[in-house]
Amino acid sequence: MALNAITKHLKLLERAGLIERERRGREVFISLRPEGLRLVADWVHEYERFWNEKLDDFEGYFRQKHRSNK
Amino acid sequence: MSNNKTIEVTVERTITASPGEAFDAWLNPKIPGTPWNMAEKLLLNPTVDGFFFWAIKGTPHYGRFTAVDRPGRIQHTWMSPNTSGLESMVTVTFRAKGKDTLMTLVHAGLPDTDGGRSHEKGWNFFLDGFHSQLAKSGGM
Repeated sequence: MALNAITKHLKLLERAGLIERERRGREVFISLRPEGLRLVADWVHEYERFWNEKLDDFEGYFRQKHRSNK
Repeated sequence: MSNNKTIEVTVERTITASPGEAFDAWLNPKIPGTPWNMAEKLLLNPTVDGFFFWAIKGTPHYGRFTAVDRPGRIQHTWMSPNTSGLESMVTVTFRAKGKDTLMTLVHAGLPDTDGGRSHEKGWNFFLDGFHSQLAKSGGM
C-alpha cells in the first residue's frame, strides 16, 4: 500500500474518532480509541449479536466433530 | 416504545455436515449453539403447530413451529420480553454447499427500539456465562 493511501486511511479513522495521533518530536504515535468501536457495537441489534454467538457455537461444534472424526 | 418499526436480522454460517445432520442437530437441546441448549426449563415439540418454551436466567421464551421440513427449513414464532409483545419469526434454512451446509437464520419482525438495544449488557452477561459453561464441558 502506498504511503499516501495509508495517510488517507489514517485521516479517515481519525475523523471517525477511532484513532488518536500524538506527535513526539519527529515521530507520530497512533493509538486506538476503542470507545468509538463500542458505539458501533451498541448499534448492532441485540438479536444480531445473540444469533451470531449461537451460530458460532453451532458451527464450532461441527468443526470440532469433523476434526475428531478424521 | 410506541415505535412500530421492525427490523430483520440475518446470520449465515457454513456447517461441516450434511443438511440433514445440521437440521437434526438444530432441534437437539444437547447441541451447543441451539436456542434450547442449557435452558433452565425446556418444553420442545418441533412439529407444525407444536410449541416451545424455554427459560434462561429467568427470561421466558415462547414460540410455535410453523414449518418443520427436513432437511431444508425450520420456522417458528419467537416471543420474549425482548420482543416487546411482538410475535417475531425465526426461519432457519439448510442448503447443501458441496459436502457442507449453508445455514441461514433470519429473525424478522423484531422491534427496533432503543429499549430493545439497551438489553445488550444483559445478553453479554448471558453469553459470557454460556461460553464459560462450554469451556468447562470441553467445548462440547
